Amino acid sequence: MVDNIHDLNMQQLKQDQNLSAYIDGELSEREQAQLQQELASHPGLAMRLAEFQRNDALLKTLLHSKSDIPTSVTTTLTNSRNAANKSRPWFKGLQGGLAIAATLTLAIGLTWNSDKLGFNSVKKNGPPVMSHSLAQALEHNPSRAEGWDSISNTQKMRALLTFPAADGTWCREFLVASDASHWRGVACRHDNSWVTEVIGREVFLEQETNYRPASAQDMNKVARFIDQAATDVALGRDEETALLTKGWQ
Amino acid sequence: MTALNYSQRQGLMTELAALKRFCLSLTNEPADADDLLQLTVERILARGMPEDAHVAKWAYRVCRNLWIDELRSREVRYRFSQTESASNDLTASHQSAGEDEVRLSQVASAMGKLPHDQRAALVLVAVEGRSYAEAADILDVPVGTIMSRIARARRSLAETVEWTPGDE
Repeated sequence: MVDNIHDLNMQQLKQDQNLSAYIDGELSEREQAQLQQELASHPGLAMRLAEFQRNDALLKTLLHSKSDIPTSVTTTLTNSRNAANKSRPWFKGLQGGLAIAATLTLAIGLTWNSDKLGFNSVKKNGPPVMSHSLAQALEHNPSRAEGWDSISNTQKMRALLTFPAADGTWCREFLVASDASHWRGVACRHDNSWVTEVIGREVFLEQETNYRPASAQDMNKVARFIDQAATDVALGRDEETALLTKGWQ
Repeated sequence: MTALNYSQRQGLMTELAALKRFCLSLTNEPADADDLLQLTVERILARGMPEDAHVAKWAYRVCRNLWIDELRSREVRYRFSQTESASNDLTASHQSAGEDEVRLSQVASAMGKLPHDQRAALVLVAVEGRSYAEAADILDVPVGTIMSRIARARRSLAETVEWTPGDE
């Protein structure tokens, strides 16, 4: 009697395993076809399957309603990026990001000249040049981990970090985005003017719509520039705020 | 082992919601899940991960190991199966009168009664869409064990949640 109950339980478990594997896409085509035949001829089995599937749907609803992330967790992650940035792994982090991003470094030494270039000068599909509005943003906007500051009808920018260079100038890493492309660059402040030192295509941020293969030779140029130019760690939020407030003095 | 690079941090950020659900599957209590998530992120940041590591799998494993450590330290390996009436917060917000709410409450209650290893397997596969092989890898058990745990978990849910013929 006990053996019979045990056998029944084992049989039931095996059947449930089979149904589960079917739901989870773990059966071979032949096994699927076989089970589908059984389902067609055994209403009880089909009901059991439907029951499993409905419970799965409920479970998803339940857990997705509980997926909110505590602010402390996102803050920890965000701060880690900032902290990492302050202790030079930010350079490694940049390299890692660029490994995916496949930065194509293009232009060096583009100086903003408002009379010549006017506002928001951008060559089609080319890197953004140092426009008046980008220079103003670099001059006044604090670094941020996310979000954008609009610099024209078609462009937005994000300052990423600020660091001192060996020649005594201040430099800022930044992103510029338009509908068509994203760029990552570094500009340094020479004689009250912002000069683009290096800039490259930031493909990582474009990946949702486009995949671009990485170029090992190009992708580290921005990171390498920062590593060579920086004489100290990136500024913290308070230090940067003080610098912006005092007009970079 | 190195500090997280940019893409790993981004990957971890993207994975947080799924990781939170996994935490919940282990702890069965939102407050504990939040704590476990925080610990997991801190541990990963502190110890880093190999450059070629799969971010999600790595994070799940760290999370699971931390939870096992926690259980060991408390010497109460299955405390949640014994305290569901006192601490089952999954149920708390689903007490309105509608049929769906009742069933959600029943699912929450049934989940609370499952051993955490069955809950974790079920959530990884049925909610997160992981394959049996991936779940086995994350939970460090054979694929056959995953198959068995999921079937038992679904069976337990089916015994608790009341469906009648014709229900959609």
